Amino acid sequence: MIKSPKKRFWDFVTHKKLADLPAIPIIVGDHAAYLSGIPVKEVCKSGKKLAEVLENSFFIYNHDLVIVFSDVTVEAEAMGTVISFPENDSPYILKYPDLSKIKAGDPLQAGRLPEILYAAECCLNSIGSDVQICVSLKDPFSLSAQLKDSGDFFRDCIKNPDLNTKILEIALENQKMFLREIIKVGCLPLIGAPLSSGSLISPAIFSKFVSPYLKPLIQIIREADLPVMIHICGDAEIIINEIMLLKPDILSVDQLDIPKNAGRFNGKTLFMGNFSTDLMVKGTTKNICSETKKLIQSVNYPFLPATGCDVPKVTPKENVIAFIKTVREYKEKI
Amino acid sequence: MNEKEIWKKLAESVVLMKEEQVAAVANTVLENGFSAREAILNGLTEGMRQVGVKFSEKVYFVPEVLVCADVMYRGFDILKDYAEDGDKPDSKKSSVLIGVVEGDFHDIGKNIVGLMLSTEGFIIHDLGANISASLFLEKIAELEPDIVALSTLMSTTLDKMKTIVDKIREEFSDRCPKIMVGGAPVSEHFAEQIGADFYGEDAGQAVVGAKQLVRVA
Repeated sequence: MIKSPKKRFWDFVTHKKLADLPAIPIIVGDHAAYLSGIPVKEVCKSGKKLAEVLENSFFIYNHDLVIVFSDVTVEAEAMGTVISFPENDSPYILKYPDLSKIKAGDPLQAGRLPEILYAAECCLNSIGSDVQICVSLKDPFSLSAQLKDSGDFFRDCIKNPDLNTKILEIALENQKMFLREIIKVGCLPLIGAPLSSGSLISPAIFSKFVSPYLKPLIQIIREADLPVMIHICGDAEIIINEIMLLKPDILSVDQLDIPKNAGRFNGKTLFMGNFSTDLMVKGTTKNICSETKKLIQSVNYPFLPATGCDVPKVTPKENVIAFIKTVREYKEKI
Repeated sequence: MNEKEIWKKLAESVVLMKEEQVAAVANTVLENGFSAREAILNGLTEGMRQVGVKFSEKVYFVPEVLVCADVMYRGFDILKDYAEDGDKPDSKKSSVLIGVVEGDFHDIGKNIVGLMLSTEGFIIHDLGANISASLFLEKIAELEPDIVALSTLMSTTLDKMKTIVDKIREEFSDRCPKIMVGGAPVSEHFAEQIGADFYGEDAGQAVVGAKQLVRVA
């Protein structure tokens, strides 16, 4: 019997048998929009459109995890950051909010949070029985660094930590409310940490400003009896010990020696990653097949083959299909 | 303190992020009639060079580099008007036109590279973030930089980086500035593919590469 992507994902997460190896190209709003020929702006601003393009991407790829995510500015906008929406590119920050006035936004009303939740509901209704639907939300550190100039936020980790702590606490409240709604809708939360990255911050700053604000979110996820999924952008190697203290069930990484760390932390955390997104967009189907095989063969422990980060917008669909096909063929040989 | 001890103290202030100390030592330079130029070069700039090494070695990260730079500029602001006319650091050095490519607004990496290059004596023309090919072309024609440095954090803008490189090569074929690229999704392979002259994996490498490109010892 052919397994559905949803069964494949959960069988693997639960039993970690190599024969159930899922394939997870991280497909989000911009590539999904590109696949459907719809401007990125429309997908970012409309939950209905976001759901449509994500559903369409699933019909094309039949991949093993659908992630509801339009762009990185959603939560910052809900807290007062002013965003610009280029016609066919990712949104960007125009103006930061008055920090004395920021407050946690009601996820049912603030900015585009309701659109994201609506997209999640639409995906659940249309393809949720076939594939696990995730909703991505940011860790409070990455969100806080979008509520004021990120350079100033980084400086104040050293120069004015109390000021950052105040912002982080409000960002945490925002994310707790958003997280609860994601769980209420019936989706799996995926905590994305684009700026809580070893490419940018030290292990000490991660311990002081990232971990304490991730823990309450993790607690909420655990109370809901769901697996804790965290994605770290960029370099995770230097902060891996700090991340592992959080005991995530699934850790999605971009730059990390997965073979080494999967062995080191075997049984505690399922690693997910880290196929090169550069190769995904620029490579040929032939070298994508060979590199995918190398990735799978390099890890002697159960892990989730995935792209290291979002599949770039203009990635040829043949390349994504080659990645998924290679993972599935590898599995068939076991 | 003699001059060398002063330089060492200035460098230490930068590396250890001691803002009040750097101001006090910079004032000591002036009160004792020591060379402000030498203090900038051998003290503040040397400190920032050491910060660059720590950044490359992953001892320091972005927050530390930004604070060290603030400390350096605090000292620089006190000393700069006393550096001898016509003999100020950077005055005869190579210039770099730097910017984040169109579609990307992440400028921390670009800022750090610009900062590191400026402390090594390069004149920096910083265009900022989300810079179109046409603005790069306009500014190259106007400023005639020795190097153009392109940065992006997002893999979605790699195509824009290629477009900008192509257009620079096309427009300035025989008098084309050297082109260096960097940023999280950029790789050496990609840099070669798009015809860049140098790929810098991090800010430290960018400095090494920029020096190679203009053959500065």
